[in-house]
Amino acid sequence: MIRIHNAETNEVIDREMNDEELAQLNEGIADAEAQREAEAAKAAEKQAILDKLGITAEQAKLLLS
Amino acid sequence: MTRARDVANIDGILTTTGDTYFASAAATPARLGIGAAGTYLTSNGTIPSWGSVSAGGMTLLSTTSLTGVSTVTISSINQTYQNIQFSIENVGWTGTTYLRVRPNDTNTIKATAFEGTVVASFSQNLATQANYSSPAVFTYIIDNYASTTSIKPLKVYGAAGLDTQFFGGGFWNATTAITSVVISNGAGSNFTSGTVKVWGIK
Repeated sequence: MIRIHNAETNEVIDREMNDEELAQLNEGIADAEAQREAEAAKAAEKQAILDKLGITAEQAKLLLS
Repeated sequence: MTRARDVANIDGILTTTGDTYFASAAATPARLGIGAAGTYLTSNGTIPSWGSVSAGGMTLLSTTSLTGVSTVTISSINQTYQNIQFSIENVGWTGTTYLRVRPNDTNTIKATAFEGTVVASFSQNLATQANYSSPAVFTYIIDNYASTTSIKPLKVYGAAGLDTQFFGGGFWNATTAITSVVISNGAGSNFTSGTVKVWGIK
């Protein structure tokens, strides 16, 4: 469902989404999933480096401070 | 007219406590009665009068509930203010995802966010990060939003999931006036709570 609020007239309409609006919503879902995957990959990469060095994230922070 | 007669004339005109003496035309003395409490002496360019000071600050333009729908569009935003503020209050959603706020429903934001102590990238569609829990509160302020000739600075701040603080800034990379905003979340699910207030700032 989509809610459309005309701020000038204060009219509020709730209705089912049309194809274009659904496509926008699905694009957002795909964006979020891609972002989530990118963040997970980055975190895994960071952890792999820490594991290789044999230190924790906190110890790495101390070294860089 | 002698000075004595001038004084007598003033006495005859100023009849009431608070009266102000002024010329309503050349060589025409007149009285202006005291204005109402909180009014200020002003002018129409010819004579003085008491008037109100135009209100500055913020004006609430709309209040929209997010509850029960996956997408909210606020359209026909008044174009007569200097800046626009979107106050997104107590937004709830299921699971973890991001909040998506798209002025004019387009991807024209370039910004950087500071999340806790970590500098994070800031999605182009004015979303926050991918894995936020709710409830969330965010305030977005866009300067010069009604301009049709300039890009527009913006800032955002808030919190999500009661433990993640957020502050970011950047700009709306288009000269188009911002007349609407679309709010959804990255999961595409219905919001479980929340309100969006649109404020015009003078």
